[in-house]
Amino acid sequence: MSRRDWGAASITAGVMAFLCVLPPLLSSSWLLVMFLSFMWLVITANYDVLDGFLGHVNLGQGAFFGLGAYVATILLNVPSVQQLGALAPLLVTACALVVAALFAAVMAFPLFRLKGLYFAIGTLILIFLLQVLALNLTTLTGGSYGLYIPPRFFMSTFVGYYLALFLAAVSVGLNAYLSRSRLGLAFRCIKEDEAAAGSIGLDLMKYKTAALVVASLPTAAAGVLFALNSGFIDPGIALGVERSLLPPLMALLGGTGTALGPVFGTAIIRAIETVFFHYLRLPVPSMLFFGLTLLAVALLIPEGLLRSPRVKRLGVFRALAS
Amino acid sequence: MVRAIELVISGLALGGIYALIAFAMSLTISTTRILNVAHGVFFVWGGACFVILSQHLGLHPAVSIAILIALFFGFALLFQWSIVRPLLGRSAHLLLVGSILATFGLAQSMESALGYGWVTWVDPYPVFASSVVMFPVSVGGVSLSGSRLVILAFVLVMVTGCHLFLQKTLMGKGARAMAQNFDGFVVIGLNPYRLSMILFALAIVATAISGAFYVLAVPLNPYEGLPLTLKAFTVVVLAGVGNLPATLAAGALLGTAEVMTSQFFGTVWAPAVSLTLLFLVLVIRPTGFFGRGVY
Amino acid sequence: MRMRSRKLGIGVTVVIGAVLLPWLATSPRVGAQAREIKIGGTMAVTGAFSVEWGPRARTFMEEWAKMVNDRGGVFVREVNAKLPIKMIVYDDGSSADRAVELYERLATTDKVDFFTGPASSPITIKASTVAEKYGIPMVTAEANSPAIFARGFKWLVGADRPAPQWAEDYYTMVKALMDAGAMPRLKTVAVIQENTPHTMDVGWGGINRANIAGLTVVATETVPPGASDFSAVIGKLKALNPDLVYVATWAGTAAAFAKQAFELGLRAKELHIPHSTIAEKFYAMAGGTIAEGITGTTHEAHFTKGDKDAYFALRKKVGLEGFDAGWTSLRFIALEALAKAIEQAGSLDRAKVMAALRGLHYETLHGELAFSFGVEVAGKKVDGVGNKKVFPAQWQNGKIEVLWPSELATAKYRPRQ
Repeated sequence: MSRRDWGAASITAGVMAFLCVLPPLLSSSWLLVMFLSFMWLVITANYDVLDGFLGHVNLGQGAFFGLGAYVATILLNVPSVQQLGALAPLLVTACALVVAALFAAVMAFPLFRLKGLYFAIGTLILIFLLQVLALNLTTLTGGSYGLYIPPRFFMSTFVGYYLALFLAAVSVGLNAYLSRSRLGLAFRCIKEDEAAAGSIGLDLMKYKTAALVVASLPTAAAGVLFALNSGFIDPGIALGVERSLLPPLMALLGGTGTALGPVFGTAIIRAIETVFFHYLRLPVPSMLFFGLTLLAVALLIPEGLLRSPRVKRLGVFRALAS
Repeated sequence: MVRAIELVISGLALGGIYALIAFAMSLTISTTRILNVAHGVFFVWGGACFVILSQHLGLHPAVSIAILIALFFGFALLFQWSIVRPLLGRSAHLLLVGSILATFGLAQSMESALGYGWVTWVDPYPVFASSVVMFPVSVGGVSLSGSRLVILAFVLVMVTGCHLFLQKTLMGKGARAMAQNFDGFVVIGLNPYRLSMILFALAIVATAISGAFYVLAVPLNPYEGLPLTLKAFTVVVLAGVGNLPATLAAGALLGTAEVMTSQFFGTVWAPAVSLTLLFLVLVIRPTGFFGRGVY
Repeated sequence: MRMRSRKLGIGVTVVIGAVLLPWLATSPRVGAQAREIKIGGTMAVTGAFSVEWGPRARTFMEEWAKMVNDRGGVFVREVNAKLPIKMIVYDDGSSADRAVELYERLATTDKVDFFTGPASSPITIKASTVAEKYGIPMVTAEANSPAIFARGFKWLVGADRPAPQWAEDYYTMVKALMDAGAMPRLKTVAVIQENTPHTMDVGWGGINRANIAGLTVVATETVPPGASDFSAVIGKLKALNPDLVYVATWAGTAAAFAKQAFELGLRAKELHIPHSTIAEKFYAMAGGTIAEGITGTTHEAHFTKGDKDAYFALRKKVGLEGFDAGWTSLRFIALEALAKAIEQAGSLDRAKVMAALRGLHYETLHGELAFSFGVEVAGKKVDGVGNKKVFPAQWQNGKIEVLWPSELATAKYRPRQ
């Protein structure tokens, strides 16, 4: 590996070590903030597999999250599953992953016939449809009243922090792998020019489906973790549209197609959120500032932080932005 | 029999409302390629301003509409200058991404500003609707909703007007040209910024007035903007982007589907129907049920 | 282009600094003053739920604390002194995730003694879990879904009577009026309910308590949240022709329904919309022609008991008049109950205050307040529910008139048309 790679690797190791020793020092509130931030990072990084690498704006990422949460919660309310005791969370996670992967594989067929704006809308429909189903299929999902996780399966935020950190590392690692591997290269070929990619023999449907399925897995797992820690989910909490709309914004802010872009984007937006809601008492609503920030970012840094030419001039970022 | 007729007409009337939400968006996306996520929020603002003017300030509805036009014309110019111009020069992917991000940020800001402003200066309860137009209509035993008929009439006039504008006037032809080939448009020496400014002004003013008509039938709150944008998308895509007359047909199709679903499966399933219909159309005929319009 | 963006960058940094400076300036100082009673919670100041709650809910609670402090504070026997209240209310932005973050913060960083409840059922469910985890007494105000109170929690009470019971008072009134000949004989009822927890609970009452007035339920229609088109429902109801239509939806949805029903020719003898008299705006939204004669329920009334003068003064201070934001009565009672429990316990010890809350009986705005434990509501066993009622009311001449009970009634029932 080159010196730059060693540098990047040691920074990464250092950050991970820091994050691992952090929890005992944090208040429970900050622990939760970090836990949720790692989950947002998972969804954002997974989103970026489709946007940054494949070139499709996928507004349905939240659907996988919600699916994971609901599958886990529904199963944990089944007596025969509950009897498995400590194995139950593992089983429901496996089931959630299978369901999410199946859903992604099946949806890939109709969705990937679409491009650009139409693909975006098509994927957005997924999360709304699931929310309607969650609201109406009351016997299965509890309807608008929601569902509870039996108290003995609660996952403490302390444990959740590490699991979520692990998932986030996997997701970001996946993106890092994609940015250096042949698979990622194949994706990028498809993104640049589908016709050309097809003509050199790339099986478009196979790669696209693979991308969607792979992107669904960590997100669904994050949904499971969320449900276990939350203890209660309802259609608004698990399938709220912000779970689909915020990740693209975080990815765009940080720079799509880079391994660390989602990290920066998520960190910045979560930091702004936390500062505004935990600390500031402004006479005007925080959302107003949030919206204006997004607007400013869209106009000033259209390619995202890590890909903007201005930022690239700083050597440090050049190493990180691969 | 009477009830069956009433159901069909209700579906068409609902279609009128859906076309109301959508036609200005169809005009905008097709001609400027900017994806305006804040469309629904402009719509809600239009309704809000109309209620403030006609209900709280007690102005005559026609006067309120006139003031609304002036206000939103000014707003459209501001919007065009600050947001659209910087975006227009970008490549296709960046344009899509940038317009989503920028208009989403604008949408969030505007809706929280409206929410906060309303409860602070207007009324503690930020839900608004107008009752200026409301009357039952009975034709041969069949009941119709008067306010919805008024909305339908307005939509018909607006869509016809816009369609004629696009087809018959020089500016309209220029708009279609710009939509078909932006670079070619520039190459032959025409000014895309000025034209998109006019188109946006038209579209935003139309959206605001549509919002004013909408609250005649249905109450709104400041946070309904984004769901309304999705509804507008649904109709636009169903119709085929840029095909304005088809937005009427698409609205009617959607409205009738929802009313029939409500009748036979229960009203809770109506939202699922429009989502599924949109999905099916996207997948089977992405150019829209009724084919391409401006393109 | 470069110069402009650099200036912009500097400008943005200056703005952010200017915004953060006040925060830095108001950080807690070491060596704080004498003991305060810290009460904390979150509120939907912004976001989707802020439509029904909003900034005024927070302001009302903060003004209440100020009022109590102006009176000297709450007397705590243990320290033989009156202690001031510090009220800390965050904006949760209508997000359950954020609400939990903030309640955890209140518990561990701000170290509050007691919690107030947030807005909306789902957020209350999650916030009360935090209360239960740390053993912090939580007094909710508007939360009245049995599901919230049916989890066997020990640290939660709520001032409001569960929503399914709203129908009991209404149907009791209906029976009395019918027997007295003041209301036309009604035989059938159709219930429309909006698919959110609160409105479904209200609808449950409408369906399952109809027998109190001897009514038969002929139709139950559930509509999606925020529904705006009711053509199919209205068509079905026109065919069934129920005497009473019971509309368990939020005010905006109800206004849309009432208007469409009017235009499509659905005229029931009695139209009961609980939220039509909770939100004063209903009259303007639906229009006088339709709204006149519609009955509903209201949290607010011209209270004659308890600390009513202070209550009305507080409302005035926050800029509320008439029947606006009637849930302030619930907030007032909830906070008052907490203060009384502290006085009775004579201590700020959480367990003692919780025990005091459980056994609390005192007279307040609506009468005697007490919390019930182990009772059954809507098929669930609930703990900690209060007994603040809603009062059947009616729109008459553009004003909300309370119809029942007689001590608070301001007018008599007027049949529609």
